[in-house]
Amino acid sequence: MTTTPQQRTAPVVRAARPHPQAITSLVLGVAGLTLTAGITSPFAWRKAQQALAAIDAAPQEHRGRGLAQIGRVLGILGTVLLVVWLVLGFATDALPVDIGDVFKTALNQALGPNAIVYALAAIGLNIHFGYTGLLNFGQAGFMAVGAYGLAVSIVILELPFWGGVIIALLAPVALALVLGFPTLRLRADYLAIATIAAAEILRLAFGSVELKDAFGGSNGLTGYASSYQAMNPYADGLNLGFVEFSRRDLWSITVGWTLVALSLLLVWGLMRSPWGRVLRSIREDEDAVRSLGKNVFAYKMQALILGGVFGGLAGLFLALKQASVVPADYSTNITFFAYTALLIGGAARVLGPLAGAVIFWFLIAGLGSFFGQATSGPDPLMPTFIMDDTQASLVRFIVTGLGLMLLMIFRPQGIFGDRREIAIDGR
Amino acid sequence: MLQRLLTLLALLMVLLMPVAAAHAGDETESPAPSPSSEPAPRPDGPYVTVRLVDKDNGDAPVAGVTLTVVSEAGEEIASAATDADGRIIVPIPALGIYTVSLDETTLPDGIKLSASVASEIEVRAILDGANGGLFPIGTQEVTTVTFGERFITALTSGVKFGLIVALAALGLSLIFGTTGLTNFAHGELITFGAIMTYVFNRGMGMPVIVAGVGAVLLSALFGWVQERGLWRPLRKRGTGLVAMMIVSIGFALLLRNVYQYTIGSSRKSLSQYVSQSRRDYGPISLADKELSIIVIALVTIIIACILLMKTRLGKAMRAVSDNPALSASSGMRVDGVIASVWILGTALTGLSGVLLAINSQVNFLMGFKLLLLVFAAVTLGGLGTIWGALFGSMVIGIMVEVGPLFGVPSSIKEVGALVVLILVLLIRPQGILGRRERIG
Repeated sequence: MTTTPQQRTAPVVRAARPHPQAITSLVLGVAGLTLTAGITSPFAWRKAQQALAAIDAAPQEHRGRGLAQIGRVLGILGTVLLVVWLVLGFATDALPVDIGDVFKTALNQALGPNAIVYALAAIGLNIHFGYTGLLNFGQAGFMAVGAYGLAVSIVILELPFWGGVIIALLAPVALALVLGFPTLRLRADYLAIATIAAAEILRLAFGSVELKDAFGGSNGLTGYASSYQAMNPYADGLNLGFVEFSRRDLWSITVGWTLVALSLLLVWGLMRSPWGRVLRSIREDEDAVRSLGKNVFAYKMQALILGGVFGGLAGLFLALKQASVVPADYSTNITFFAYTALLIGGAARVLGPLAGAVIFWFLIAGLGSFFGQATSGPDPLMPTFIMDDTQASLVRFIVTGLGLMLLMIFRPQGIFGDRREIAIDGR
Repeated sequence: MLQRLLTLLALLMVLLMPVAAAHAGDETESPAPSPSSEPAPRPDGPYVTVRLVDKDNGDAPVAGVTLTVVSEAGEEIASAATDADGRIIVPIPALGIYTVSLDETTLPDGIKLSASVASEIEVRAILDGANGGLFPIGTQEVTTVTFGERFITALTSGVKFGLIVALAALGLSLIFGTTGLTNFAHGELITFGAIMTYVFNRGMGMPVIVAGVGAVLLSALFGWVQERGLWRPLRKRGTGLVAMMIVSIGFALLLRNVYQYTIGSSRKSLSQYVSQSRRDYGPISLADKELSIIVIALVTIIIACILLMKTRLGKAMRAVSDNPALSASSGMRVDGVIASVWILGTALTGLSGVLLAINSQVNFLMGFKLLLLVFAAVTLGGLGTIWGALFGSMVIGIMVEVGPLFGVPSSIKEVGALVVLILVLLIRPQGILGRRERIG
């Protein structure tokens, strides 16, 4: 099947369509008054102003002035609400939710080790998806072999620490080779299914009872990180008031952000090189590149390996920062969250994964902390029949899912990306 | 677009609302153990009380089995037979660690301990009163020992599982065939059927069969709403297939967490047909519900196939799947056909969820766990072909269930199917019944 039932007609300007930004402002306004507690309201206000200006400039082309008006009113209301919140939250104890604490938690996570793991994983995905157009849905598998490569070689094979690190970085190369040979010649969706299946196979195998002696079963492996901890030069944690890191986390973020910086430098260099240009052309038109005499398969394989090594690095770092490797950490969700981070920042941009991971964790941790506080205590802000504290921890994932959908529909290039550079039109 | 999305979301919330009610009054999930009629007298001092349950039989208490309590020093304190509640109560002279062992010869006729469980447990007596322990044993029937019989049992459950997968795979394959969408939210459509059965059954008190029918109808409606509210507008905007795939991932995440939000993360049982004893049909022994599942799935698949092969609508679906542009230019309403495909596809998928709920339990992750197996089945048979989906599902179902007999570790029996998925991509990427042109 070569043709698809997509109607690729250019968006004809029809008077029957409301202005898109009017709808956006309405949605942001509604979200501001309900889900996001005012955070989206200023944006709703701004969008509504833009929409109104556009509609007034060409009233015969657009409808939806009413929608934009409603969006503006909701946006203003929400913004007022947001200001009241913030003032009350920061200045007084009148609210059961400590806004300062929410921001602190969010910032801590956005700058902390978790964001680093996602940034590294997303850098790998950026090479796969952003630059080469390979739809790797098995980044969790690359992370898992990195993490288990380290843990198994130190705990079970009793290699020295740096030997474990080398194995952790070689394991993703092996996985990329094994996975790449059958799948790189296939269409994007086949690659997606094959990689997600491979990642699940690895997770199930690492967690299985039968292989408990080698991989520690569902409890995983511990006791390999002592050399890493021993290298910690810090005597104390860091407390700047708005962020606070323990001694261990401080060491981890030092190592982690250095790794991220070096990785970004490498990606920046590679993507400016002729090699990087070939990758981008493969994303745009594989056949054209092939007709120029390039070995497309080899380039794709190199990209898969390189991105996979970054995935392995993410797994390695995750294993080091929490000093234990548990198969449940490498479920497919982590791949999808890393994709979300990448798409927030903008695929095919060097700094996209970094920005995306930081923003993703800021939002996730902020939402988690806000709803956690709003549902805890003897007299919670949120009535328990609407939301209890276990449900509160799910809101952020519901928002993530919705966010991923909206992002992909309305702004696939993310915050910093270029729409023409995203490999989303092919199959 | 956004309005439609929000409407979709609101509708979903409303649909799931009754669950909250069901959730509230539904704390007795596992069948409550029957209270023993005559509670044994409790001794005054410290005592050890152990309850013997059969974990392979829904934690049913095992009565009349002799348990012996031995102190840390190896001194035998007492032996006692378990009462109707599977409990023994043995006074102990001092606090400490006691070992409770089981006399296998006193097990009820026809069962023996399965190989993987220990025949003794340790009880730490630290309280000057009851020091309780649960003694879970696994049992298996003594009679089924020959390989042939085990093979037939595994084959039967493989066929049953394969048919359930086939319903979902048929749905996925239909939707993929006509729209080209690799729908990662398909697992959540399976869960939708199961959860709606649970809502109608536990939340509204309907009998399971009525609840199941309702859930299938609602699944069909959900499919239509999804198509109208999400996927058709995306097609109209000219959104690429990869973008749609990522949208479906977001949708899956959203749905999965909404499910968990509403019904919680524990496993839920329906009110009827939870445990049934098996009947013998020649060499095969099946519970009534298993037989019904097989028959319902088989009949539905046959009807769906006849519908696709014989009726006008079926022909239209196959035509659109073959060449949408040509179908449109020969006067077919492609959008209408796609809408009916979504309705049919999600109804079939919902039915597989209903059957899965009746077969075992309801959980927010159940569909997601099945998703990759459904993908494996569809890929094995050939993405987008009807017969391929059916064939692939049967192979996958049987392989998953029979695999452990041939040395596949049973804790990871799904892995075999996923390995096959990757091997098929290596050797014959278009699938066994697929056409070569389908791959790019």
